[in-house]
Amino acid sequence: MRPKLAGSLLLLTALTAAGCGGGDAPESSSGAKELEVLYKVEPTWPHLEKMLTDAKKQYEAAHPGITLKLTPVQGNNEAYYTKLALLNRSPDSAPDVYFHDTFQVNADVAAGKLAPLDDYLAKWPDWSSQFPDSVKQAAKGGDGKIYGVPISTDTRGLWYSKDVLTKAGLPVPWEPKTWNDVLTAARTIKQKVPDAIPFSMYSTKIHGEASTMQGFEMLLYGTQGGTLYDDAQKKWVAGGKNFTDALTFINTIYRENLGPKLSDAHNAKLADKINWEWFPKAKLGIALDGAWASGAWKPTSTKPWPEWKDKLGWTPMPTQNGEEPGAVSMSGGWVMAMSSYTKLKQEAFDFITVATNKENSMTYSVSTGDLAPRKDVAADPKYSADNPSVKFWTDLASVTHYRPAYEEYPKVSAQIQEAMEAVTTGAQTPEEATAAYAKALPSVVGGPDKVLAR
Amino acid sequence: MTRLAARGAANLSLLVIALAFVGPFLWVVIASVQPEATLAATPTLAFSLDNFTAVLTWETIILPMINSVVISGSTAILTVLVAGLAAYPLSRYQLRYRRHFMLTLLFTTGLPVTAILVPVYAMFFRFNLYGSVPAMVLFLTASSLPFSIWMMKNFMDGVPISLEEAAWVDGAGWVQSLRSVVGPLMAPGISVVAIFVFVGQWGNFFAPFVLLDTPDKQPAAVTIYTFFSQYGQVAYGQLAAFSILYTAPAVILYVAVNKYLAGSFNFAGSVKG
Amino acid sequence: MTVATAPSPSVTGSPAGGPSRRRRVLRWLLPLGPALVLLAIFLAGPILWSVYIAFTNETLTGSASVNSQFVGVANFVKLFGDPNFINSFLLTFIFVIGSAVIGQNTLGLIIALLMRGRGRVTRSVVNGVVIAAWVMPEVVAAACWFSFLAEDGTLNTVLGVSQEWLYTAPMLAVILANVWRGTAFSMLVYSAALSEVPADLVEAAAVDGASPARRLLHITLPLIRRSIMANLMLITLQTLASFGLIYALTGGGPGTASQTTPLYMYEQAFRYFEIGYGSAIALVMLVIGALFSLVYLRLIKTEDA
Repeated sequence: MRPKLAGSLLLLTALTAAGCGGGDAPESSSGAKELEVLYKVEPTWPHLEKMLTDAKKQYEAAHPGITLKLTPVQGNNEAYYTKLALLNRSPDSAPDVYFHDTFQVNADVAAGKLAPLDDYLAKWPDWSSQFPDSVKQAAKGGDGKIYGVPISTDTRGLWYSKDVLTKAGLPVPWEPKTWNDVLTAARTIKQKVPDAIPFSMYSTKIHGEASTMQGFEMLLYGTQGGTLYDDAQKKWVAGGKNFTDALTFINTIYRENLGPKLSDAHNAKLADKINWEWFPKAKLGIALDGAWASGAWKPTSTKPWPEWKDKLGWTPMPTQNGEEPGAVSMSGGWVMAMSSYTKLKQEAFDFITVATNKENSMTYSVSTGDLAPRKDVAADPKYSADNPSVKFWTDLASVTHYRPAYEEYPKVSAQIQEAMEAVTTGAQTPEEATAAYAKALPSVVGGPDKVLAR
Repeated sequence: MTRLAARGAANLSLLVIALAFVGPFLWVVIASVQPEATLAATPTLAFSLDNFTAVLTWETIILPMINSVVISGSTAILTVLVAGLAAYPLSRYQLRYRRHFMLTLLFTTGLPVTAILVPVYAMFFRFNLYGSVPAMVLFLTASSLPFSIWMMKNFMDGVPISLEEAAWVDGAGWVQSLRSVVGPLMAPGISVVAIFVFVGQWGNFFAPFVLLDTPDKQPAAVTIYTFFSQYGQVAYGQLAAFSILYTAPAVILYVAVNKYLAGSFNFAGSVKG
Repeated sequence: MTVATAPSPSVTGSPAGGPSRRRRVLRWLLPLGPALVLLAIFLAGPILWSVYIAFTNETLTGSASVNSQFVGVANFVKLFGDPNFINSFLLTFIFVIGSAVIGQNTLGLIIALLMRGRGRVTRSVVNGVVIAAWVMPEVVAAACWFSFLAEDGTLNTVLGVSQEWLYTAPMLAVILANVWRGTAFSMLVYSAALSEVPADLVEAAAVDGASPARRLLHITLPLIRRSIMANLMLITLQTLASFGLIYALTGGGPGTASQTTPLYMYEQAFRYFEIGYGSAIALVMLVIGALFSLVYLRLIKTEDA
């Protein structure tokens, strides 16, 4: 009977090996409570990890008996979204609290993965006293409930190298009024300063949401009536002239060689190149980017560049032909959100309040260069002390737009990235890419009745 | 004369081929010992091991390599055990559907594991196995089995049955015969299969990337991919050093069984079944 | 694979039926058992499961992740009207033909032929570099080619040109990289096969005045045809599923210029979280792999008949 024994033993070990392991339970067997927090980290972007490590210490000191487990995800935003979605598939692997990009919130609300925070927020004095109403909307679900406490907000516009523009004979401070002004400046740089890249923007799939938001939407929302979603009719807009115009701008940049090389346009680390290589060496004229770029140059960065305050200028992205209000900006941001699966709701919410308190919010905003969502942080001299650009970026809030962050938005965004990349590489003309977008849209948003033809 | 010319031409062609194969390695090897190396193939006389010391940290290389050894090693051992057992009846008994079974296995070797990962991933979630290293090892074992059983059977066919008969006469069962007669005789074959599986899993990045949750469980294949996408252009010298350290074990293991490798690639007979 | 028929050498005329029949079944079932269980749970199970989810609208996020519904053949209808899928399919075809059937197969055969009768040193050097490229993990191979093809990388330096190969000729780049990486396999298969071609047969033909090309075409190749078939089948199937190398090297880009079907499936399933649609793609891939195998197996069978 030995063979039989051996066989069944092998089977048994195989099956038990399969059975054990698996997701970690929210409470370990010893009875101690554990709270898992998921966040993203990159070697060049340690800021959030630093802040959360501080918050962990504060929280554990104030909540004996609870251990906080910080689970980092290595990589860019896209890698983070994927990992979070994978972990969120099952209650056992879902983190209790997580760092969440606001545009993903509605999809997760629809899937029932997020817990509404209204009951807890009502008992948290900071919420009514420190968070402006505009910021509170950041993580509002379609049902009107709040699903996250903002940790950062942002605006977008143009950074430029004063050295490069001066060399090209352009006026500094530079104040473009139309897209054409931007393109003309880029063409001038190309001609007069041949060793500098005239203009940089995110326009490929590898940059994910950054391409859609910093790139495409900054153009689309600057056209007359340009929008992705018609709020009145509650339908997604299928292309149209605005869409083609925005893509034409991108097409002009790459066909006239005003942008970065293709290998750089497809480099996941394009932002690092812009901030640490090109701008400091005066190899780049203009960058369409966001408020947070200054985080790369501050003393808290891994490669500080103190001269940025003198060497760089910043100006709003103009509307297409100078249409009112003359400038355009997009705002998004990140929140701390709570899983609907967590068994320790109050404890999880308590951690969110620690992570977004004044001290930690300050640490985060100052190091990342993101705009502070809290009034007390924004008013603190420490916040703006080392950053002369902060007032400019904060003021852009007056012209800013928000993404139509409905459940379908992430998929719509992916389609936009396809269109942008096709135009960037020259695989499609702006018209072709717009047509492809219009064709793909109905299946992405759930039917032709949700699409508004243009 | 023509013979000599032919030999010269053959040698020359082989030289060109060898150079073409060396080409893509070249900069990786040089860059690894050049401080501040970038993608640009501009060798300097500077030599330093800084790149190696920079990546030889616990999180970057040591822990991922340990994870790789654990994952690849346990997959290899388990595969050899299971495949060795399975190969025995396939090699020794006349089974009615043997040829079909062998052809099915051959067919399975080509199934896109990438395609299976979507449902495997869904299954891991359903049964609460997401993030479990033992469960992933079982999956990896299953995915290495078809080819391993196939190779194992070929090696076993090479062990003459007459040698076993002596053992049977002594009253040994198949387990004993497998363990004390067939096993030792096909030791080289077993090591080829083990190393084949080990090296295959050593480089496997997709399965752990999708099936494991936290970075402290990830093998070097995933870490190096992350490193590649993060530092590929910025610190190419370090990526090169990482690549070399990570590739070395695989190459060393292959060199160790190189002698037996050639014999295991004779597929002609085995297709016939 | 169900019933043991002919008695094995060890069975000495035990009566049919009853306990001995059970013993005979157990005799092959026990050792095969663990393998069958693992294959059933981790390969057959997922394949059947993918058949099921391919007919649903399952996603990772959004409302369909909680209430996935049976959608019939909707995913497949969408698939065959999806220009990106058609594109990926064509690229996969080009990739398989270019890098496996033509590239690896021919180059492997050429190297194996050239190596016959060469000195020990030559053989081990060539073997060494070719096999090293094969043993190398995919991501490392990608890192090698990434720098090799970079704008100021080795290739451009040698050729004296300035080209962004990964963006101007992405398919060529991934095909070459895959030929480089995979040739060792074909080389080993053909070396083994050629070593069994009787030397006197070829020499006799040479004496008869047959040119080297004729000897190759009419004697050597027909003798190793079975190895050629087996090799073609194995490398075709491996290449069909190839993911890591392309993913790390070009990510399928620029645009969709090197997005083969496995990459398209990954993008749909794990980037856009469309698990149902991704499974439909996976299923089509499995069917295509199966068809390829069947064709080859048929060819081998015809040979035998």
